[in-house]
Amino acid sequence: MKPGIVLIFMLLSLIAKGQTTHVTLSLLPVFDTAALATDVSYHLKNGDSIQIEELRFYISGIALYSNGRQVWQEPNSFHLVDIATPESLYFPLKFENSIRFDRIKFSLGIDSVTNVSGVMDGDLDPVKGMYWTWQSGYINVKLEGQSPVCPTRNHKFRFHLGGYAGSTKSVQQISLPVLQRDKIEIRLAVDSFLSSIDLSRENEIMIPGKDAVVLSQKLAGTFQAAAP
Amino acid sequence: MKRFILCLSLAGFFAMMAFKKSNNAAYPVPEGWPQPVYDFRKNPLDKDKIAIGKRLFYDPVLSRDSTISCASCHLSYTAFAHTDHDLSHGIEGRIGTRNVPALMNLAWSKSFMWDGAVNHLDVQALAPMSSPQEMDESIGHVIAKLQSTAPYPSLFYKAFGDSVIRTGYVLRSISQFMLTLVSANAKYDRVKRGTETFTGPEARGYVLFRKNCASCHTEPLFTNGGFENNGLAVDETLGDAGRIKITHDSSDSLKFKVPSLRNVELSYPYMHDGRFKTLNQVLNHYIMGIQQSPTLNPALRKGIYLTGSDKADIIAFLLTLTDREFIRDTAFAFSRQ
Repeated sequence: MKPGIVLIFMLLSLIAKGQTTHVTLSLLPVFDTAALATDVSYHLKNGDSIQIEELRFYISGIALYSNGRQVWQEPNSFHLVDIATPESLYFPLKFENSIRFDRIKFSLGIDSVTNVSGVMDGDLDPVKGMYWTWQSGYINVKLEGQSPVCPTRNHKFRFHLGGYAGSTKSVQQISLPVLQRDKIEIRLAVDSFLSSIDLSRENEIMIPGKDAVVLSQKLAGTFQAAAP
Repeated sequence: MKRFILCLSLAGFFAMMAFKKSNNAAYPVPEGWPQPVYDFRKNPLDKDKIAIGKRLFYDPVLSRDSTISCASCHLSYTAFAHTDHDLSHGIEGRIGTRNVPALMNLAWSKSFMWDGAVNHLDVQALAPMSSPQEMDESIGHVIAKLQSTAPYPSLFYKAFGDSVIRTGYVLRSISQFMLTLVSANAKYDRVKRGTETFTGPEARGYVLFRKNCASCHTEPLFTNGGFENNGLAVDETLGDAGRIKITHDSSDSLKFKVPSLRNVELSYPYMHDGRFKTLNQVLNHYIMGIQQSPTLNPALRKGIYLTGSDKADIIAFLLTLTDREFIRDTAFAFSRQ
């Protein structure tokens, strides 16, 4: 009798523990509230036309919070988001069903420790083209496109934002309220980011430094929780 | 049943012991040397992986047009430096901007390149591989080439148990070979161990060396691993300000990695831009060529005072840092596969 009860109790606790749920986190780059697409002509607020050719960025260290307290942290949390690969904009967060949360925090970019830990696999594999070879470190964000206002060859602008050490550290912490329990939708307003830059002067950043830090901060500021 | 469990746990215990041993005990640390910086737990040395690394080191497949290998500029017979070439060479006769460093004792190095641009040995090979002035190739393309070049797929399968060649396997294998390049058996080392003695000039040179040079070229590695401005005039065609390019910190202007002086007899020319051909020229720089600037190493403000015979003695000492066993080691030299 007694062993039977114990067994049932153990099984029940296993089932309870095994009850995980998943919530889809979506990271949607938008331009004027519509999903951002490559090679489409857009207009900035000041009337300049613009095309986006590439947007890739790392999201890392995803964690959920309730009343200011961390209740869940994604293990091995590194995601390369690429508008050329639509499935990379959505990923499931798996946790126990009992967890309640009201806020999500994550980083735009890769932390300093990972940057000094040698060669990595998966989304962090240097073959992904998001790793600088001439100077160790991840490129947190790649944004490239064209605008007639850029006085560069083929009117291109290229922002490769990264840097992990000292004053060049460009990884950004983002904290947003969670408005719905069943899905977490986050948008980044690429139009407002580009409107905050004078593309005629600032159109090519390919090294870590102050400029990369400032642009990373600006881009992080355009992440918003989408209203349900 | 009990006996079976006992056997199982004993087997597990021995397996763990063996695992521990393969992680830590394999790497010899010469007597009196500090512990290596490299974390061997993440890449325990293995003879199959070292062999792949050596093969890759000598294989021009790493360059875009398959014309140059690591060994094109890092020759075993000259302590893996590019002796008599001031600046690095690349494919199609391209010339880089810095002098090829000797390769040895890399497990003790905290950073790589003259400006410390590379922060881990496992990602070091990406730099020459991708540089347009060197191999002008990409790791993705290298992997594709290796995947279709016998016997690489079977070698990687044997070493890593995976039929797909991955970035980490390639780079960690190259690291493994480079980690075996330990130079610790020069005359200097034998004198330290008490099996040989310095000649008169060598002994006098050693005293002068310790007084004038050792704060940066610190024993036993003969580098402090840091970055220093040693008073070189800026080469106007190169305009190279060194470490500041990486840190964006004005206090790092004109600072370059302090190179080890082991095998310095073989690794000429000297300095980050290979401006000095002889050790005599190097010492003359420290005696009368120092350029004053805000980041100059304080110990060099007044230059180093040495007489002609002091110079000869220091050079005699520096020649005791040549490790003939290292440069002749067949485990490191090119061998027909």
